[in-house]
This record gives sequence, structure tokens and C-alpha cells, in this order.
Amino acid sequence: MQKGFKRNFDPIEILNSSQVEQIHSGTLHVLEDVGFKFDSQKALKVLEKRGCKVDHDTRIAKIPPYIVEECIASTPSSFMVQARDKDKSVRFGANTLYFMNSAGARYSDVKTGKVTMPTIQQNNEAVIVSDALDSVNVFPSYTPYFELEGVPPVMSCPVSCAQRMRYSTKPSRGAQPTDTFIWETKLAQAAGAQLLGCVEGAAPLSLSEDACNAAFYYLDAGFPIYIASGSIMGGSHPITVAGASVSHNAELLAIVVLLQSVSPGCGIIANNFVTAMNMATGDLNFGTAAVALHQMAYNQVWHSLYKIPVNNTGSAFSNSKKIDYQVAAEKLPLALCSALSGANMIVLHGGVTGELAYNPVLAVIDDDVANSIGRIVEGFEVSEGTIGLDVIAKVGSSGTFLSAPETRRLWKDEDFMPKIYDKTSYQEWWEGDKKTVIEKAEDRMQEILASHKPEPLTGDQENEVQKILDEATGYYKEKGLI
Amino acid sequence: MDSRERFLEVMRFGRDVRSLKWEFGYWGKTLKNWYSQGLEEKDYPAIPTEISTFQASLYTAAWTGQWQKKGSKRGGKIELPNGIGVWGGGTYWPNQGFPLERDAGRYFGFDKSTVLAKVEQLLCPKFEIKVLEEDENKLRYIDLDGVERIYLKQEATIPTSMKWPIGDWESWEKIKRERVHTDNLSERFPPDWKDMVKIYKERDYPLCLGGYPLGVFGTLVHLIGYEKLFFYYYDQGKLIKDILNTFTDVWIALWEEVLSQIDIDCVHIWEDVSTGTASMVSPATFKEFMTPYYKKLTGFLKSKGVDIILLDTDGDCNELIPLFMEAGITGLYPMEASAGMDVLAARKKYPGLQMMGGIPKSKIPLGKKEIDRFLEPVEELLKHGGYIPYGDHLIPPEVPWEDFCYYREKLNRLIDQNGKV
Amino acid sequence: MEDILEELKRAVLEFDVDNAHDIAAKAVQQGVDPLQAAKALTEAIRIVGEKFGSGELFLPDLVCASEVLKKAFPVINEEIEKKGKKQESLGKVVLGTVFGDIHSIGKGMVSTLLYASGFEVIDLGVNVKSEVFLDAVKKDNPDIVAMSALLTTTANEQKNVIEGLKKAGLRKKVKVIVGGSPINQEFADSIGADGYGATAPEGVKVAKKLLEID
Repeated sequence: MQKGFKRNFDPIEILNSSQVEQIHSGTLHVLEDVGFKFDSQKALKVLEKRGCKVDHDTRIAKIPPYIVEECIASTPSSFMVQARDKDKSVRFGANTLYFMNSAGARYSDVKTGKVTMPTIQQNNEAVIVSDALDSVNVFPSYTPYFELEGVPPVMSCPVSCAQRMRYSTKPSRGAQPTDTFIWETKLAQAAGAQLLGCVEGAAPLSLSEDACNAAFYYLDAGFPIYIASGSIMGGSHPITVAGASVSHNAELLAIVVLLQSVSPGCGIIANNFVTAMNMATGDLNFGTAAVALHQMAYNQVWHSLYKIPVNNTGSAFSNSKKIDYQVAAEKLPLALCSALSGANMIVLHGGVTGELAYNPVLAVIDDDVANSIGRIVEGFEVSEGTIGLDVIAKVGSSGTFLSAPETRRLWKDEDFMPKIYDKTSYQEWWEGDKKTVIEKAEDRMQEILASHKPEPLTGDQENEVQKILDEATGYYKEKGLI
Repeated sequence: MDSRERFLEVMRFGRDVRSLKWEFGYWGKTLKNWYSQGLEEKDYPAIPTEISTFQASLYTAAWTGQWQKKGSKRGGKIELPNGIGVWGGGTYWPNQGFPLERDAGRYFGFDKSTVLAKVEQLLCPKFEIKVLEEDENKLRYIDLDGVERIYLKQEATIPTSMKWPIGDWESWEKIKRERVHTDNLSERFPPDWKDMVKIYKERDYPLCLGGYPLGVFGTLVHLIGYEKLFFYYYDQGKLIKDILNTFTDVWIALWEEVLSQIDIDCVHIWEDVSTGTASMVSPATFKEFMTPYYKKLTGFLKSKGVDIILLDTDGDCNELIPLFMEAGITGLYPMEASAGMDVLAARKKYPGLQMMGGIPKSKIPLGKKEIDRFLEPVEELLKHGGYIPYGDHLIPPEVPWEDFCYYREKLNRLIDQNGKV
Repeated sequence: MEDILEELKRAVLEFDVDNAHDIAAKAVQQGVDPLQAAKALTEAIRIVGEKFGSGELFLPDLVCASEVLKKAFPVINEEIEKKGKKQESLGKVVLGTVFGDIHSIGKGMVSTLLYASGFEVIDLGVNVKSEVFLDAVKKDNPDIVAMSALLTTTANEQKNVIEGLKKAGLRKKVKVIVGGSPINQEFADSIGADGYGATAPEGVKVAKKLLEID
């Protein structure tokens, strides 16, 4: 089991109890009065049987509050995802913080920022790099790249999943579009792993047929589910943080109701992926204050009231086109706000420009970031031993603590020393090779590629994986999608 | 067919298979009587003397006086206290310090007993045992679950609980923070867990999770006490729900980890929610404070393929059966006939309900005719399947060995006649 | 007469969605030339579009201004038809989000900006099947087909529509422009689109360029 980081203090709460109640009751109101569109007759039948008021013409299910409450109650507050290597399995929930890799559609050149279609080799190298980074605990769907050179778009998810099974032993999230869940489930099972299933809503207040099908399929395989509903404040959702919180909550809880009605007790991690709309261009604004506030409020409601594990995607991306100060300025405040407010998982490593670009060099730098944040949430111990009055007295007003045995014994636990950041003296730097953190990360990446060899699939598993990919290709050809 | 396969087949209403030969258990005094009345002593029930953190023995301190020597093993035979329970195969909860009976079981050709997987399911870490007072007649101590108990040495009955660790929000929050959460799940597994997994994988007996005192009513009683709990249902609903949410979350998390490594055959839930005449909770209380948490547990278990979920409740639970079933419970025991539970009537009303027990133990001393009479319905029940007949609770000392032999041999014949394998 | 035309313009420039319908009705009642009224409205939305382009106004302003037009235009158009007159436009665009994709924001922005620039826009909505695009091309005879896709997996559907147009012999009749988060020039070229806009305003520029306007 991967340990992740354990938060040893109460999460920051930015809402008082009456505000939490207002957001929750607003959410119940939306689900009962406005309802939620499920684009699947099978899902609607399940919900009708559960007691929802279903209009089969509009496909809208109105969900009474008692059903929502029951489904929240039947969702466990923690659950496990089994990885190919059982030591890499994860347990979401409680005070544990994990990090998930980010993703991008294209390979981003570190120097120029030019994006190009990633090759399979670039993809595999990026997987290996993240497999080697301690702070990457989980891979999302279509990671690291959404598309791959020479791979038909409809096969990009299954191929990406297969590459993760081949080049990493860590847990992976499945995808949902165009029946990809069939192949990804088979791939994971062939590799002896579970997937974190994936059911993503289509804001506002609807779930596509693909997503419903994915829900049934993943649940049938006994996999826990990652739920999400991309939310754009001022676009698919209200511009106010409070309004967007209510409508986003309603979307996720509607999905919780479906999943718990199909398979009561199934594990769920609920993702907050909110962005603000750039009112000048209509693009997504990453890393803004409103997004941080939305996520913090969300973490509080889901963590303290619903007791359902939460993931935050706000720090996965930046609007910067290159790996630069803006990337850090947009990603890090959000990641820290997420960690302090009780997120169980944060998406961070490697995402550069929106969902457009990814580079493993940034993942290497983000490893230091994640470890620093993890060290912060672990807090520190206050005891006679750690205060060390005797040590303070011994040093008095003239000595140094450097020579105290406690310093040598405790310094590594009391702090995290980043591996990549430049911590040399100015003199050394000036007289040396003047490497930037990006150049140092590039060196580290090469070291990883030369030395890190993830446990390969067995011969039988590899044959099975290839067979599943061939089967998927045949399936999509028959459907005219290749 | 081994005991595990037989159990699964019977509980799934297989028609060709004979049912299991088990008893619920016996009181210590009963067995002591029987040894003097003709039961051959080969394996005297061995009271566990080791107080281990895993499946900790709540009463071992009382039964053995060994609380001072925590972790030590003591050889030699300890005479059974009159009031100790001795398990007969249908259930086996080591955490009460009740031993397993073997001599009568061997004599009657019993099937292998159910075993509880070796994980800590309640508090982790446990409380330290603390003796508060001891003299010739009594021992007053705090047990591993933080419950203050009094053990009357002469009577030697189950230690009575006097004070409970949860008394308000503050005490619960402290216990929750320190002992009931999912951040230390690995500590709920014993150091030899990997070896246990190997053993469990090759087992020929049913392996279960849950058991005493895990229940959505039972655990509350265990940690709060009856009187306070009944008040809490009315004025501390949020506290009760928080306790139940927290425990069910921990159980699901822990069971999920166990189930990721081994198959489990069934889960036992302990409630004892009924008295001799009726249920202790109203249907309204049941629906608010029990149903949602049962559904949470049973939904999870069924999603993991565990489809035998048995609930232990003494007394008259007739009016609760539909509520249990609606909440996903699949079977009940020990179906106390003396409290008005009628297994045949229940079978007709609930054809899909698994049942164990139901034989009126107190009527065994009434002679052969009465035994023949009360065993009459058993055949029909065995034919239907989903039923394991045995005494409706621990066999009391009033039952002589001779009468027990007549009853048990006849019951065994019925079992053998109703099943090809 | 002049006052009511100014009032119409002001309704757009001040985003007066609530009163837009009534002001248009008042204009018709006062017997104003409906073509003049339409011109006032398009002139106003052009100003809003320019201010949006220069960064003075933002998307919510643009969208609200177009809402004003949506309320006012039906009233004015009815009068134009009644009087047998014909309104001029820069060109006709059939637009929609492709099949399998139900994202509407980007498509809606392009629709609004094209409209604000003087195009006639036929919005087919979201999750639009290839055959629906083809039927619209046959029926409405547009100058441009514009397609949006937010998902990587649905982007390929844009190619299906283009292939469909080819098979139906309609490809040469229309220009095709594509857009959406996963789309880039390289993809647009690979599927045989005529143009690609990374943002909504760029989409309008591309449309104008393809029709050789300005």
C-alpha cells in the first residue's frame, strides 16, 4: 500500500456550519426541483425503481432529498484501489493525501513551448518517469498524453491504458468515452489490477449515455469509481463561488445516487474540477482565487459532511505556455489550498498549458513540490522530546544546535529537502554551470530513464494485453470509427 | 465435501447436501455436569489465557485471573467457570474468551467450526486493562474496550458492564480520533497476517468477519450501555449517527483490505436487539438508526460477493425480520424458540431467509417424547434448505448428558437422511 | 422616428434584455422602416463586437447584447417579411457541436460573434449527427459549415462530417471551419477543413477571410 501523506491537523474550514448547511440544502433543492438528466434509459429505470421521479421524454430524474441522503450514507468514507504491484495499491479517504499525475494532449517542448503530437516513445518515457517519482501515486485516464502519433483517436484511451499497465505498477484511472471502459477494464484485469473507474458528468446537470454505460460496466467489474463534472464558473455554472458550489455539488451527488443505487457501498472519490471562464476569450482560467475558494469549500462539505473522499484538479494545469514562473504561480497556491482543506488527492505532476500540453520534466519538478506540500500537511510533533528544553539550555546563548545530536537525528524528518531545486550558494552557482531548475530536472529525467525499470508484465499478461488491443481495434473498425 | 463447502451449499439452499452438525454452544456448568455424567474427557475446553491485542479477550482477565500477566501463556487446565460460554461450532467469537468445545463435538461427529478472521475490528489501539478493585468475591476492572466491568468470582458469570467509554460527544470524539479511524488500518492486522492468509487460503472450514460485538445496535450497547443509548436515540441522534457512520466506514475499509487478499464465506452481525417478548427498538427507530447502516454494510459486502450475512439476535425478533431482510441481512440465528421464535412459521413466511438454531434447548430435559415432538418440523426445514438446526442458545446445565445424547443423535439422523452428500 | 432607432441601439449597448421585445414592438407600432430597425440593431451589436475585440467589453456583455437581439429581431423580422423586404447578411453559417459531444459554450460564443458580425446563423445545437449537418447544407444552402468539439474523442467526428459532405457531393458548395479545445491547425488540415479558429473571435476572422469579406 502506498502511504501517501497523513494530514495530522484538522483541515482548514472556510465556511461556518450554517453556510455548509445552506450549500447542502441548496444542492438538495436543485436535485429535487430541477433534477438531473441521465441520457440512458437503463440508468433512468434504476433511478425510478429507487424512488426518483423520472420523466422519460426529457430524461430528467428528480431526486428526493431522502434518497440523496441515503446514498451519501451508503458511500464508504474510504476505499482501496488495487494496483498491479500490491505494494502500490492506494486507500483513499480519511486524512491521507495522495497525488495524481496530470495530463495533456500534446508534448510540450521545454525550450520553445512548441507543442507536437507525442510519439509512443515519448508517452512511454513519461509513464516511466512518473512511475519512478515517489509522490505520483495514481495515473488518471489518457495519461500522460491524450493523443498519440500513429494511434487512431478512438484507440488513444485503450492504448494509453495499456502503456500504463506495461510501464508502471501504480494504479490507474479508466476512461469513459466510446466504450473504452470495456477495453480498459479488460486490460487492468489482464494485468492483475483494479482500475479506478471513471464517470464524468456533462455540465450543467447531465450525464451522457457513455458515462452511464461506463458506470454500469466499471461497477460490474467491482471497481471503485472516480466521479467528476467539469465546471466552468460563468459558463456551465454560476459565476458566484456559492452558486457554482451548489450546482457542481448537485451534479456530483446525482452521480453518487446513480452509483449507489446500482451498487450500494461502492467506493467513490469525487473530483472537483472547476475553472473560471476567461471573460475576454471564453477560455478556461486556471489557478485563480475563485477556483481555490471553490475547492476549499467543496473539500469542507464533502470531507466533513458527506464523508466521501475528494480529489482536486485545480492545480493540474496552468495557462502558461512554458514551464516557467507562471506555471508555479498558478498551480501551487491551489495545490496548497487543496491540501490544507482536506483533499484526499491532488492532480499536479507535469501538466503545462491547460489540457493542451504535458512534459515529464515538469513532473520531476512537481515531485519536489508534492513532497513539500505533503511534509506540510504532516505537521509536526509537540512533545518534551521535540521541544528539547534540555538541548536549548545546553546550547544556551553561545553555542550552536548544529553539533547537538538531536539535530543530526531529526533534521530529515522535521523538514523536506527538495531534490531538484537549486540550493547552492551564489558563488558556487556563478562559478558553476548555472543550471536552472528545469535543466536540473531534465538531467534527473535522463537519470531516471537510464536506471528505473518498472516490473514488466509477464509473457502471458503481455500476450493478453496485445490481444485485447487487437480486439478493440477490430471492434472500432466494425463500428466505422477507424 | 468439507465443512466450508457444506456451509456455503446449505446457506445457498442446495438441495442434495446434508446440513451441518453444529451446536450454538454450552454453558461451562453444563459441560462440567456432562463430564461427570458420561461425556469422555479428551480435550477439555481450553480457556485462552493470552490477552492479545488481536481479537482481544474481553473477559479473559476474569476467567483466568491472568490480567496481571499480559501476554503470558499459562499451561495446564483451567476449570470452566459455571457462567462461561463454550462454543459449539455455529459461531466462535474468541474475543469473549469463550473456548471451543471439542469432546461432545467429536462424539457426535460435528463439522468443523466457523472461524473468525484474525483482525481487530473494534478499537485500535485497545484500552489498557486496568484493575480498579479486587477482593475474594469480586474483580472490578476496565477491559480492552474501555468498559468497566464487575466479575463475581463465586457465581462466575459473564462480567457485568457498569460504565461505558462513550458518555458524550467529547468522549466519543476522543475515541474516534485515537481508536476508530482508517488511518491506521495496517495496525488492525496481526504481525503473522501473511501466514494467516496462507492458512485461510487452504481452509476447510467457513471463515467469517464481524461477530461479537459488531452490530449497528450491538456495538452501541457495548460502548454506551442500554440506558444511555435509549435516551440518545431521542436526544443525541447526531451522535449516534456519527458513531455508526464511523464504525461502518472502518469495517468496510478493513473488510475491503481482508477481501482483497482472501475470500470470506460470511459475515456475522451481533445485535441481541430483542428481549424475551419483543424488540427493544421500534420500527421507526430501526429505520432511522439501523436500516441505513445495514444497507451500507450489506451493499458493500454483496458488491464484493459476500452473500451470506447472518445476524445474531436473541429473543423475539418476529416483527423485525422484514426490516432485517429489507436492509440486506440474509439470515438469522439462534431463533430462540423459548422467546416465541418459530422456525417453521418463519420458513413459510420468508422462504429465502437463512436460519440457524431454533431448537428449544430448555425442552430437552422433558424426555424423549417431547424431543421427538419438537424435532418433528426439522425434516421439512432441512428439505427446504438454508437451515442449520441446533439449540436456540447455549445449552443450559439443566440438560442431562443422556437427554442431550438422545436429542442430538436423533437430530444427526435427520440431518443425514436429508441430503445425499 | 430617429428616437426609436436610437432606443433600439441603446437597448443593445446597455444590454437591456428585459425591455428589448417591447422596444422592438414599439418601433414597429410607430411604423419605422423595419430594415432601418434591423440596421440599428446590427450596428449596435457590431459596436459591442468591436469593444469585445479591443478588450473593453467581455463575454458576458457580448452574450447579453446578443440576447437583446434575440428578443428584438423576431419582431422586426416579422415586419420585414410582412412588407416583403429582404435583409442583407454577410453570409449564412450552419453551426453545431458534433455527435457524441454536448458542450455548448464554445459553439455558442462563435454563434454570437458571427451573428454580431452580420452573418446569418443557423445553430443546430449540440450532439449533432453527421446526417443532420448534411441535411442542413442541402436545405439551407449555407456558405459555411462550422463545427465544434470539446473532447479529443469526438474531434474525429468532424472528419466524418467532411467525408459525408464529400460523398454527398456537397463539399465544394461550402467552406468548413472547425474549432474546440483539442483542435489545432495540424488537425484541421489533416481532416480537410478549410479553416480553424483557436478562439471565437478568430473563428469569425477565418469565416470572413474564407468568404473574402473586408
